[in-house]
Amino acid sequence: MSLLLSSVIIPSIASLIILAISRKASPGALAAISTLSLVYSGIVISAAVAIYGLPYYDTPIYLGPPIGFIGFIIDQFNLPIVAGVLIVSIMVAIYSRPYMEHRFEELGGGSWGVYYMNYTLFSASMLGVALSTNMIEFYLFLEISLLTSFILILLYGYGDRVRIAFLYFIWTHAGAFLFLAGSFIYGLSVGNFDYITFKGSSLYPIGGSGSIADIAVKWVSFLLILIGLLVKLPAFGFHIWLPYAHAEAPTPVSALLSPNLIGLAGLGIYRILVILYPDTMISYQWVIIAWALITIIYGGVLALYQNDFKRLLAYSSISQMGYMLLGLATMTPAGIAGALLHYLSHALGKASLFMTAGNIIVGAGGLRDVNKMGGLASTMPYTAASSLIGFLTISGLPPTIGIVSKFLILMGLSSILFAGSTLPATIIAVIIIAAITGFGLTIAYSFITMKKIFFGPAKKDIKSGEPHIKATIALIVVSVASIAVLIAGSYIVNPLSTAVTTLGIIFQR
Amino acid sequence: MPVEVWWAPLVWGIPFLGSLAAGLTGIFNKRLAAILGSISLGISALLTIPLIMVYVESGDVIVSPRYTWLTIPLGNGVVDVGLGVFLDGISLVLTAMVAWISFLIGVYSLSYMKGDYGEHRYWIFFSFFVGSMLLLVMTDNLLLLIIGWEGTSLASYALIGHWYRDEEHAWVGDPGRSALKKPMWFTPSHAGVRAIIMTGVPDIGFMLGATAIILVSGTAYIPDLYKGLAPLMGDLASKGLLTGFLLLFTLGALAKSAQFPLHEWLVTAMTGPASVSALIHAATMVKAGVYFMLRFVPIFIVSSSIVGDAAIAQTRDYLAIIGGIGVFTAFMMATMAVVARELKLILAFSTASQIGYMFMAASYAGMLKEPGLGIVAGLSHLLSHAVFKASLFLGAGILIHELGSRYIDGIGIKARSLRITMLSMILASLGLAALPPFSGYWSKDLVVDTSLEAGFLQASALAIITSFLTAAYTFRMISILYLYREKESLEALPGHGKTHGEDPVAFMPYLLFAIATPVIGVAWALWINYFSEISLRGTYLHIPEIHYNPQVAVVSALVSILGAALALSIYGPFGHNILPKIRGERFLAAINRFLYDRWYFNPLLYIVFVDGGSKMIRAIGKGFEGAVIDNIYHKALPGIMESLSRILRNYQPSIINSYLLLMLLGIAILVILQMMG
Repeated sequence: MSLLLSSVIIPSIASLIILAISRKASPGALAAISTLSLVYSGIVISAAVAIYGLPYYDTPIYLGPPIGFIGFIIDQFNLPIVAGVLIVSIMVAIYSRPYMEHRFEELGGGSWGVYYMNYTLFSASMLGVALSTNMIEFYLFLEISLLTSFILILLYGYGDRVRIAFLYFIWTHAGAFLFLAGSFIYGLSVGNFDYITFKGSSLYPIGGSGSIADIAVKWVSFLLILIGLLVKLPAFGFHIWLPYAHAEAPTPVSALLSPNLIGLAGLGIYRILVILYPDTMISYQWVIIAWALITIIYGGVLALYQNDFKRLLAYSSISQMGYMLLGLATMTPAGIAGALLHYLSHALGKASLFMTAGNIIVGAGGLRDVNKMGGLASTMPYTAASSLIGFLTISGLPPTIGIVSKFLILMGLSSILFAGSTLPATIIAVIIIAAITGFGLTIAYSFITMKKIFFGPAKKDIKSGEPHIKATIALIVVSVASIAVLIAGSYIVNPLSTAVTTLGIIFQR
Repeated sequence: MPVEVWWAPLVWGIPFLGSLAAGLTGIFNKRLAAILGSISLGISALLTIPLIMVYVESGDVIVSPRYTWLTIPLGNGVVDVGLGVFLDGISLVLTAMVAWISFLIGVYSLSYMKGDYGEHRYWIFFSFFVGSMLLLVMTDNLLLLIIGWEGTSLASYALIGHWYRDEEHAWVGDPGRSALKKPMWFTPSHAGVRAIIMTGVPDIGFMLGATAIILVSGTAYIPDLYKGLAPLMGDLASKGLLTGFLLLFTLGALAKSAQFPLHEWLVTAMTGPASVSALIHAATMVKAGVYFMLRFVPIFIVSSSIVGDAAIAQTRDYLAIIGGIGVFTAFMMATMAVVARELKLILAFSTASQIGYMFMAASYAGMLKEPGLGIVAGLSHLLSHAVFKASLFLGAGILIHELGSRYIDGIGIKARSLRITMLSMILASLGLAALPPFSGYWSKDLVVDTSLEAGFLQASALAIITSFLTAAYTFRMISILYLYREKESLEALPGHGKTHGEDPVAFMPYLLFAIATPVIGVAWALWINYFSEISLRGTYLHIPEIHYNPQVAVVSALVSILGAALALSIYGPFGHNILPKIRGERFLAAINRFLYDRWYFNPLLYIVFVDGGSKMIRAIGKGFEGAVIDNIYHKALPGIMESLSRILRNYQPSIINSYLLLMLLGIAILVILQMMG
């Protein structure tokens, strides 16, 4: 059976068809092909899960050493990631149609075929990354997503888009290269690149790096993969490409790049480092936790500093990736479940917010400076409501799924602070203060920004209104999905929680 | 055996459905949203009647099936949390109180909010608010408690900022006034942000504490924590961390209940409609923090006594700190109320002050031989305060709306034209001033009894001084509103008939609350022991025999009467004209300014956090991210690469370009691998 393979292949084929017929077909038809091909992926994956249960995987192809198996899997761990990729990419495909029309007018022309071809392939490749079972496969899909998003920024971005596109390409490519180098060391030493294994009783080769005899080699490979993924994540210090790329990409692409693509690095950290290198993770745990807390705080501080709405959201994404890194670094079941779930929270929340930014760009004459906005809730009530839900999601407040993922990440943190820990009181106090500051900054920038944009007396010099109804509906669907996922939490949270405790690793110290 | 009532979760569920229904129908018809929203509150309130009957008859606590919803991973194994409820005495009393008071405030809102531009939004968040509050008092587990808890934060944010266009009539504070160069007036959108930041950030501490409890106890089920908390308390106590941990866990409650130093959000929260203020101050939001104390102090007491002396000592330290915060807040806020000019602001100060009493009682309970006394004292004061404060805020809403001023001296004698409102304001004020036999008198006596019995003499003295201030500011308000006559304002009396102050839908709720104030007072005096038996059921605490301490009763009655009489004799004849006289005296004027500007605490907060914060943010954003990081990565690093490649090109022109460099690097890695393999 190759149900999951088809969910990646069909949109890829659709992207080729889009390119082939782009001269003759109307933009609406191209948008429909793109959307429907992604809807197909959604249906086929849901059907596979509904019929066969979790985990479900395609019959893998065995390539022999040193590659191992190439396959596709949906299990309890990547379910939130796959859900996030699908919901956002389907809705943004619909959203792109009115938005890019506006953008093409600004640019004085543009090709719908090129846009939707790259968009669809970009979405499909992210789905591929999420469903992968092997490092090489993971890398290849990641490269496709990088290339397609690079083209989209290069052609349709804002500002100094050529320079920014190359900046983005070189940085994340360097990250991907480090990742590949590290994986090569791992794969050639161990004899396969699998992080999901199809031989043996368990799917998860926990502690797979244990067969690397030389500690130095193991350490080097761990470090290369870690740094490679931290660049893609990005963590503090490696983040400098993100504010440029995410702020200046065409807004629908930002809505996909910002929550979806970067979060996949978090999945990579889980699949590869947490599973294959648990002991190394634990030995460097405090460094990574400190780094995660710095990333959360730094991203939050810089988000408060920005005036440009999209750039603010880009820095907020850095901070949110710190949440994921923090959860994973705790190496506790709750923290890991929280981190993976936070992918979904952030996907829905941040996509709503980027779509909000897009609606304001289209609906209020290209406005991006939050200090020049104000009172927009009167003229754009639906955008305002969706934006509020988006901010609630990323700040972890009900009635959104954000509260559960924040709760779980904090639970991971408190399990290493309080549950039988031997840390001195001052260290505990410092970590608590850092956590309250970091998570608190998210609440602060969220609601301060909400006030600046939507509340206060309406500015007379700004003409504004809801843009195209399609864009608004897509935005509402994404934001409401965040509430729906909380209510239907038992379908995503519960399998994840159960699975993460039955992994049977030494997470609990 | 606990009685199982399968439909009990509907009490909190229905307001959520009402919120959803209001949200959907309001798109087409705002009035329908209002009707559906208030109906959902009505059903929820009605459902509490059979619950109370079951509770009284059964002689045991009420539970519902767990209705498992989410699974949370622990270290090894999982814990299920569900939609079920657990109703012991404390929860049940609060559930009934929240449901009924919110419903009546909802009825008032039908008239008060009619035709408002945000009527649709109002009902979405109003019902959501009530649902969240009911969820947090009823739920049987910690996760849902947190969800309800954060839900009230969201709803209060939205309702405080309800008039988001920042119209001047909704401001709080005197426009243009500043203290220490910081503006002292606040728009609705600003007040909303203050509320959610000041309550949301400390909640992270609360969540850290709650998650640690779930993790170590291996359960999120609240009744299991009476014994389940012992291992965590033992572990922390042995390291000397228990006091700090409990303070961290209580951080959220301090913020929610506006206790010092997290009180500032509440005093600017009256930018919302008066009905919202009534809801926040009487039934929901600030009462959540008190519920937290009433819920968890018995748990701390029982668990720490299982662990032993170290845990008991550290828990007592914690309780003494929180009790101290409570009584200090009570005093501090009362002093501000004495000079405030805005009607709703006086009431807001008094809320934080009265909540201080409740915190005091709930904390000092832990030091008593009979902790039950303190818990009953806290709960009683919560109830009596809820009733009279709801009446006062709803009445104030009508006064302000009808007579067009937020200031008591601006409303002045015109207030007399609204007869029913006058009657309710006076009745409810007697409760707030704690004059016998009104409800506030009895419950406050119990609080003072608690702190005396716990051996906190200074705190008790401060509490009695605060009683004096409370009576004084209450009667100052009443005197300026209803007694002091001024020639011009007598002529300015508006004609009768055009006010909807006399609209029964609006006045019935607050009239009812006002009449309840003496009724509850009398009932209290007679049946307090029955009440304590009902409300302590299921808490593992011994049910105390409550006697009013006659000395305390006499002293506090005299103190309150003295305060009231003093205020009447000053403000009755002189009204607000006393103010220019004070301004003449430099010393008095300085005190007046100090109190009027809220002890300068707000400007200090802004100087430290807002100004200091934004300076730091600018330094990091401009100085570090802009100057250091950007330059290193985008100027220095490419520059080094460029010069490096230029140097290399000098030696071997056109052979090595960056692409080949990469390739060489790859080969080098492979060679290293070969050597290792």
